[in-house]
Amino acid sequence: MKKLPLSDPKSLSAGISSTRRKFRRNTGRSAKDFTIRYSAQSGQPLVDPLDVESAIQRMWLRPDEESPPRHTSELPLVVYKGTGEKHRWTESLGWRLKYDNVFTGELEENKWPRPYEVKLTIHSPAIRQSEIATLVHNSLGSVEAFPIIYSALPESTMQNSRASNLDNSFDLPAPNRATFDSRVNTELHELEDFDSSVFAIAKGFDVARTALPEWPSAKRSEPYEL
Amino acid sequence: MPTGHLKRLPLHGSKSFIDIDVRKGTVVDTKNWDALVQPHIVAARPAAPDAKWGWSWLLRRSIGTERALGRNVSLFCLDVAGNNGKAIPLGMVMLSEGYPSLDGNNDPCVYLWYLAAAPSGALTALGANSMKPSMILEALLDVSIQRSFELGYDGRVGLHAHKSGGDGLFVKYRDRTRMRALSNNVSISFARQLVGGNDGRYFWVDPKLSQALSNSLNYLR
Repeated sequence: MKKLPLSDPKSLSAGISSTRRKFRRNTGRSAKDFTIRYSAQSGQPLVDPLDVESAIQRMWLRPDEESPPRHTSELPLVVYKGTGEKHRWTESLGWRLKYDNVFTGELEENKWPRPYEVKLTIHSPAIRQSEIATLVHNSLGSVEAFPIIYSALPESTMQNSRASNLDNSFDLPAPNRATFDSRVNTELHELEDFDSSVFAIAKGFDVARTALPEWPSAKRSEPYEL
Repeated sequence: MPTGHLKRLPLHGSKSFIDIDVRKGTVVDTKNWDALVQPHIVAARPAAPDAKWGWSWLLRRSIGTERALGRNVSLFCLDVAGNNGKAIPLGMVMLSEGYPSLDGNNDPCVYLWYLAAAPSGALTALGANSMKPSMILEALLDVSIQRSFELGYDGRVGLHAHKSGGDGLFVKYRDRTRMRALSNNVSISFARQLVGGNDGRYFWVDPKLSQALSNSLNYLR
């Protein structure tokens, strides 16, 4: 899929928010979440959220070549929330459906269907928020399209945000800082509506892990030679 | 003739085998796959065609579209034993039953819509008792052939190697499964022509070939 640069820095915002309390209430697990939110204006494409999810999961499962694979049960849970003219929001599966239907094939700049924005929420019960932030930052760096977005920001911002204070905030430049703050405030209110879908997926994730069928007792469970 | 599903698969580089369990799947299995296996597929082979699949959605969508066309969708799962007494997903295949034959005849066949194998990392993470076995692709095709026999389709099976899989996927189907590649000039169904026509990446198993392929795996039944 062709990806085009986001030329307007004002269209980008990113931040951290916490829905820890509600996550625990709804899932019985303590967790932290990290939300990154970005948007595109009409005529501009948006980074494929599946690329972000893939990169985050890939890094979490295998941070580097020498590390043993991590257990899937601790995999950060990535949830999308997209906003468009026709869909106020979609949960993960719905987003995939919408995304596949709308954006497959060659993308032409002047045919971008509608202005919208996407919020990725990454939940993880096992790691600290600073680690999630680092993970996300490193992941985004490995996603082909994100350096394009970062290139819309001053180089110093990129270095600052990657090097330090990752668990506090993105170090957005001043003009974007106000936009960022207002968006985060709005976002915190919107989370009231958003949480139900997030937690439904989180519950499903738990259920799925424990829903594997029993291995048939009549079959051998260890390797053997004929 | 249906001879029953495979019961074991060989392990790489050894004389050993492990038992597998072949069974019909449900939407629960697709959710399990999406939650537990799919992230490892994304991590292990991000460019592969199956890296962006959501099996639970694919199953729901396929049931809707196939039923509208008078066909049935079935899902089959391959499991191996886990160290926690659970059956660990090893492979999954989604079939369209009653699909028009790809060789131009009116006979129905089993069309192999989607198939995937779990990466080694998933088996390790989920607690499989052994290494990843070999011949999973052959086993998934055999599931399709046996199902075709069961339905009275004489083993007819078709599939399309998605172009995103490139030459590697084409060669894998051709050389490992020994399915027959349909040449570009072979006529395919009207519906298939609507979605792109014969791009030279269709594979076909006729009754004679399916019997030969089935017989070649009898030592694993």
